[in-house]
Amino acid sequence: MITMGSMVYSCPFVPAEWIAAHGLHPRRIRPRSPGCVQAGVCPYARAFVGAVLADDRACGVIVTTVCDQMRRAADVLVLEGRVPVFLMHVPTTWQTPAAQRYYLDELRRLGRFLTRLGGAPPSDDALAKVMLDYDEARSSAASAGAGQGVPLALLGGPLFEDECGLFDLVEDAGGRIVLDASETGERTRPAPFDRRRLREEPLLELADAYFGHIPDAFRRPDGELHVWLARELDRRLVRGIVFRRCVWCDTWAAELGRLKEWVKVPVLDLDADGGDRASRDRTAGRLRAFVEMLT
Amino acid sequence: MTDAPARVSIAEWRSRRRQLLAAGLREPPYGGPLDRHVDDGDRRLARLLFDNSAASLRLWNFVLTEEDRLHAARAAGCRIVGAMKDLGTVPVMVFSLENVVAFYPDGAWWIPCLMEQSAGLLSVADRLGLNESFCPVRAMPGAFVTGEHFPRPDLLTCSVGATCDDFSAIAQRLEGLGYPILWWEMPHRRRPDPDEKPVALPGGLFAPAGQVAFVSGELGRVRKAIEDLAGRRLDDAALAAGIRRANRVRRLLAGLRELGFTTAVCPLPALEMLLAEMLAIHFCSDRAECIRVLEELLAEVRTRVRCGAGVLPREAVRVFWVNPVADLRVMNLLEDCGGRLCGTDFMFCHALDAIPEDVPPMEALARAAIADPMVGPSADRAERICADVRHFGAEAVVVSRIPGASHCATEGDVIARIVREKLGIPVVEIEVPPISDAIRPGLQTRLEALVETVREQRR
Repeated sequence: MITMGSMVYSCPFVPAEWIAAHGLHPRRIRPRSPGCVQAGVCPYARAFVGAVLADDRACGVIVTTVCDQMRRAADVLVLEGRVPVFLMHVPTTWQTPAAQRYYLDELRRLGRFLTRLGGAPPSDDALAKVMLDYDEARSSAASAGAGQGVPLALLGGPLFEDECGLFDLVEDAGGRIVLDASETGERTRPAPFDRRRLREEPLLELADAYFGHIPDAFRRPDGELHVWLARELDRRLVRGIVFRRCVWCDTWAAELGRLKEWVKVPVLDLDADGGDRASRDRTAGRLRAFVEMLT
Repeated sequence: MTDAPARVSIAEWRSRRRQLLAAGLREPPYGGPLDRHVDDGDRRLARLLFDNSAASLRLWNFVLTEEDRLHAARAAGCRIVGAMKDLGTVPVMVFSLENVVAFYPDGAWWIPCLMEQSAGLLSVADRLGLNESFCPVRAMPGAFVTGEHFPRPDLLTCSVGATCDDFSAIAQRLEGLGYPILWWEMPHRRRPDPDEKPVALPGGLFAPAGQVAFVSGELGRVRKAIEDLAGRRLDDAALAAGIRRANRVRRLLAGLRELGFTTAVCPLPALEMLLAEMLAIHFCSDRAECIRVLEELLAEVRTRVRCGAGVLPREAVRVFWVNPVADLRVMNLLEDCGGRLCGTDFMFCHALDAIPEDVPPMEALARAAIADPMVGPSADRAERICADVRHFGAEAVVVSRIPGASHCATEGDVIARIVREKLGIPVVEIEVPPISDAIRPGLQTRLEALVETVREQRR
């Protein structure tokens, strides 16, 4: 396999395997927080645009329609014209065969985009091999949860690169994240591949593992997210939820109200504005108070 | 035309209506004095200026009595469909059957403005976790919960996918409260790749045939749900007839826009133009009456144009307006500042374009639906705005942001940038909340600056 330029993306519904199988380097970027707030603009979408425009190693960028602000971010990237942009429609509805086919067709269209950028369409065997490698890497990845402290879940959208310290803040406060259900956590991992289907119809299996199995707040209806969450909260004996959302993110903001109606454990709402040190200090203080309440 | 065209207050409308009645005006059953709506709670009307024609009186009364019509329809045994988000397609299907009517619960976004927040809908939204970071359509769940603004629909549909996150999230919240929704997918419209068959859409755009077929399939699910609700088939012949009637509405509006935006003297104020355009999306729950209302309005405008009579000074600056305003009073403000409306994109241009009548009806509806300016790239929307600005001869553009709306955050910048680059005309961005009184001086300053800039350029 020839490794060429890197293809950057952020959305978990973009299968890295598909990019890699075309001989391009998939790079899921987590931008750094922008450091300031712009009214109405999701700080993550804003930071993503900034990161892509500043990236001189990217040969292309893939944006999805999972979030309206990111869909509009693609408009900005196209207008800037620095790097080829592929806007992938990930259906919001999921329960019809037509929606599933649409996702599959979008993967095929993505494949043509990758080919235009110098990639090569993979054979089924080559795709299956890449998928196996990724699957094994994912299954061997360390799972969260070992250690002491009040067991907590982290739920919400994507974390900025410089927000990894959130886990340390939780531990400093006396808690530990036993379920990372943020967009950059285990919630958005695709399902393990079915080995038989992987051999017979690898692209179908890839589409199903991603589109058919990742629970998310953008889906309509969004019931699968709540089913998954209820199961995982019980299974891991979670005693509190750190609900982390970007300001101006309507999708997750609306989930908060719904979550509070059924969940049996306390919920701490943390809104990330992508701002300064003061907001991080405020977050640390609120986490300490939250864990203290649960202790 | 019964008198000199003018903008008048609601108090002036009392004597004006008496004058019209004395001159022989015959009102429809929903007619009556406008100020009765203020007594019913629509307080904002007391602060607006209205066109003084009998046709506009009928228009206002038609729009402000929709709730009564929906209740009457239910009492008469009709089933009610709440069509959400697609703005112009599902109602065409619904009104193709006689025992079903459709309305847009989305329209509740104007209730906080009309009732000057006395209805408490935004408080309900706050309690549901839908705070002011959402667009004013967050008033909608409150209207469902209180049950005071429209009857509970028998069927709720909502288009999702390439739509704004506000609406999708709010509709999901609504479903969580026990209002089942038929979700249907609207993909992000894109230009066809070289290896894809292009399909021409209303409005001059193109989409891949595969996307049109997909939307047609999604609308097929909606069709089935309407059939189940109505207890009868919604066949192609009925749909084709429904499309023809919808196109009658769209042609009337096209005539109104052409005269209203292009004549030297402004024949109809901005507020009434906005109201008239809104009729396109669901006929205000009565398609036949909607046509009569628009016919009368167009006749009035034609008469005024013939006489060279208008409601604003001839030198008013010609402004193209992007996005609907959450506060209707701002349409008055534009005119108070020396502007006039000369072109609009109120987010539903696709509901103004004629639906194709030379292809199978479901495909025609799919083509119309996917032509929605909000489901495609902002650049496509901006291109259409540029074309319409040229056509209507607008001299400036106002991009009116909707507070909290997910699409407005970056879209306004893109549109403004493209319009400036392509046309070189002034563009101003403003943000209009449901009640804009507190920021009126700021809005006025920006609109006056725009008008002065154009006047300076004219010299």
